[in-house]
Amino acid sequence: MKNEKDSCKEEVFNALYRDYAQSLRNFVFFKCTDSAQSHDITQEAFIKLWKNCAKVTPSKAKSFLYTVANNLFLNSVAHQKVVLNFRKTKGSGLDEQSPQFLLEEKEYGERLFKAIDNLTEMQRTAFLLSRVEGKKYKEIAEILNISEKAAGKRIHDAMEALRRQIDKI
Amino acid sequence: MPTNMEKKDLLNKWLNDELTPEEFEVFRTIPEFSSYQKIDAFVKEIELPVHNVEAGLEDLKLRNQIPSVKKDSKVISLSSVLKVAAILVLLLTSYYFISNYTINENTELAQTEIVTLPGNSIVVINEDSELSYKRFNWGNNRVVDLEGEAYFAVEKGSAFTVQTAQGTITVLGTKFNVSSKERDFIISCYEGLVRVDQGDLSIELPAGRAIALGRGDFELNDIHTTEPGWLYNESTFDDTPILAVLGVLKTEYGIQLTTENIDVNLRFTGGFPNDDLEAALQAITVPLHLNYSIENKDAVTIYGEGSSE
Repeated sequence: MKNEKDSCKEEVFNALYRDYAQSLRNFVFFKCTDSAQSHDITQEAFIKLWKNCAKVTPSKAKSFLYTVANNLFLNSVAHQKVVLNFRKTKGSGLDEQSPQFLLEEKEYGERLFKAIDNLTEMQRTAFLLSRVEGKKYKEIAEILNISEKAAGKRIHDAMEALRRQIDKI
Repeated sequence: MPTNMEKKDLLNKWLNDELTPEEFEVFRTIPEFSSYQKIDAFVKEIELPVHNVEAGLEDLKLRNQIPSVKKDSKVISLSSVLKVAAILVLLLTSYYFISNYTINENTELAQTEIVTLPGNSIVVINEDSELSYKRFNWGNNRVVDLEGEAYFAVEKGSAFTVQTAQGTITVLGTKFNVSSKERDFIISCYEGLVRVDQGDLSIELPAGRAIALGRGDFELNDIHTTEPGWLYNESTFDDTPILAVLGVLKTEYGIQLTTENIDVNLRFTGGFPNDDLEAALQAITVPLHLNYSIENKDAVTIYGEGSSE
């Protein structure tokens, strides 16, 4: 707490960028599922942080960035369909997997994406922050500016909605 | 077997990674467990964009000289400051007047009006409503303010926003109807997709669906028409309680309406014209097996079968 205007120093700002850019990018990506848009909004949010660096101390920077990014997302809206992909992992040793198995996995993935598309934007963001990033309710609540209980409910409801929709078919 | 409450609690703890090993043993016995686990495993494989931190920092510096070395201060003579200031004041005032030049469209009772917005989007304003928008910079900032009811056929382009006292609706190219009156806030989407924001609530409404928002809750309904009935001077209803339908009839025609022996649980699906009382009464009463009589110009009685004698 020694210097309230630290965010304006280049090395402090750069450190904030290195700490938060990727997780902010993920957060925006969960909302819009568009890689290019999530990049632009992340950059815009940091430009806003720079412009306000005298007012936003490093300790407040995280919550400032998430709030700004959320507002930028809401202003840009042009909702598109949720477009997600799975990582192209597992490069080797998968010859044993039968085409039948692979096809079933692929179909399951598509059903899952469709079910994720049917979640509300609020449920989806909270759910993916929890499941993909492994964040705890407490941190998600801070990011979304809601109570811990509300964050838990969104994530819980999202999981139930996905399960019902996928198991039904 | 755990109860539903216990299951919910276990799921909650599992999602927040706080189950004890004993609790986990119980959790894995519930029938839904394998579904949860599979969803979780697949979701964790979702591909995320990789943010190139150094390239991102470079980009910021290029775009905004962030964070750049402080500029040298220059000595500027007062007269040039004054000149620049005078020009700025002039520019700002004219900008202020141009950008705030607002166009208003009002409709009276029983009057509708068709307005073509810049960029060829069309708005049909229903009776007793007001629509206003700013013509300046319309292409980048398509925002209209609405009080009352209107139907929108929006040309594709930048985001198009309808602001009402009760919430905001955002769209790309699409066709939808907004009714923002004292009590009700109803949005019906006929084509494309619209987003409705009210306070913390944000809802995406696909074509063929309508949403009615109350205080803190909402109701979703299907719509079966391709355009709102009032465009053709008709009032339309979908599975609506009879008393609500009669309420609309009463206001549309400005009549005194009495009911006798009517089952209040009746629901009405269909429409009636707003300019022919006799036809409107038939449209409502015939499918519901009711009768009506017109006592004089503006007093009507509607009664159930049993009390017709």
